[in-house]
Amino acid sequence: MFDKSKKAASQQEEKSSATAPLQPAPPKSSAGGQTTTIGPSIRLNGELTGEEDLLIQGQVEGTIHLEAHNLTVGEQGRIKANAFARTITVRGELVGDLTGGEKVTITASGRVRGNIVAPKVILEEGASFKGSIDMDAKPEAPALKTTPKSKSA
Amino acid sequence: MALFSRSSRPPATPEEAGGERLSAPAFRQLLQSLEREPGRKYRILDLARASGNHVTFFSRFRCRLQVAALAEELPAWRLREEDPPPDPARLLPLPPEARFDLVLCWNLLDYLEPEPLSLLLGHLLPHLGPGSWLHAFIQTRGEMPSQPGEFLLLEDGQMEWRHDPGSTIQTPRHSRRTLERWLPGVRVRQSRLLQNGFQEYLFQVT
Repeated sequence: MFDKSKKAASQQEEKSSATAPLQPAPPKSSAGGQTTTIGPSIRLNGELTGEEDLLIQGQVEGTIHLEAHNLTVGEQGRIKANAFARTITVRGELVGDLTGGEKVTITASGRVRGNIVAPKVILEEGASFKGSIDMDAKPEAPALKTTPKSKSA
Repeated sequence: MALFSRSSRPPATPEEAGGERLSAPAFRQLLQSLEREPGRKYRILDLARASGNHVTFFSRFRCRLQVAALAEELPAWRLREEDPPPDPARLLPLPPEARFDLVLCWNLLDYLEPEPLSLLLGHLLPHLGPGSWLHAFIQTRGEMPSQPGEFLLLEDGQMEWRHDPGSTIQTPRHSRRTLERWLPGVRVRQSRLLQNGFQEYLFQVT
């Protein structure tokens, strides 16, 4: 079911990244450089967990847990899921909440509806996003009290 | 720390991008007040389209940034007389418990007719607590671009308003009195006419 020949997928990713503006550096691969690809014809429902990097070009609904690894939603990827990963890069469509241990990136072709929690979030020019971005998930402080100097014209 | 020290994209010249530089003193002072409490976590509602520039800029604060992308829904907010009124809860869904310290309207209020504008502001009000801020630009000139464009936060403390200068529409010229009527319990703390015809408003919930 999973295409584990990584070279074609990574070459395709490299090719697309060459044309995209302000493309961030690809995340460092984990698990000895292994990336599993879910191909465009694959539809998957349920909980997805793994110990290696994952590229999704197919359709996934449910939850994705790759806490120590990198998740990439490719241009053809269509996801309805909450996702947890070290880094998350979205080039396709995703509806759901994203939690990135290090970074979440939505590229120019990415479309995301949901909430993001990550220490670093990058939205490329042209990316579509609707939802909230929490760049600091520490406990909240009390309500606003300070006021800037008032001056009415 | 400089207020506008980072930008997520290489700045094009204003001429290339159909952009206009503008200083927004009220917004700048507001940011200075936010910077005085570096440990504070702010909840910010950005009504504009998702912008990497805004995300990068506000990442200097501990904050939760809600991107409403209202510009993408503008056709649904516009009303013809025969249409039913827009449903703000559907067009801008917010959890009942959501509270914001700052709402960034930019110039989007200019693109709403009076009825949907009053509905939007009425929808936002329950999500603003005492002390919350609302910042907006209202065009005072007769015409404005047919699309809202984008406001970028620049490194030199100014903003750049990028827009398509090609096609224009008539401005609704919302008055201060009208805005205050639709924002009961909210006061104008600062109001300035900027060089490019924008009236900059900084409202605060009392």
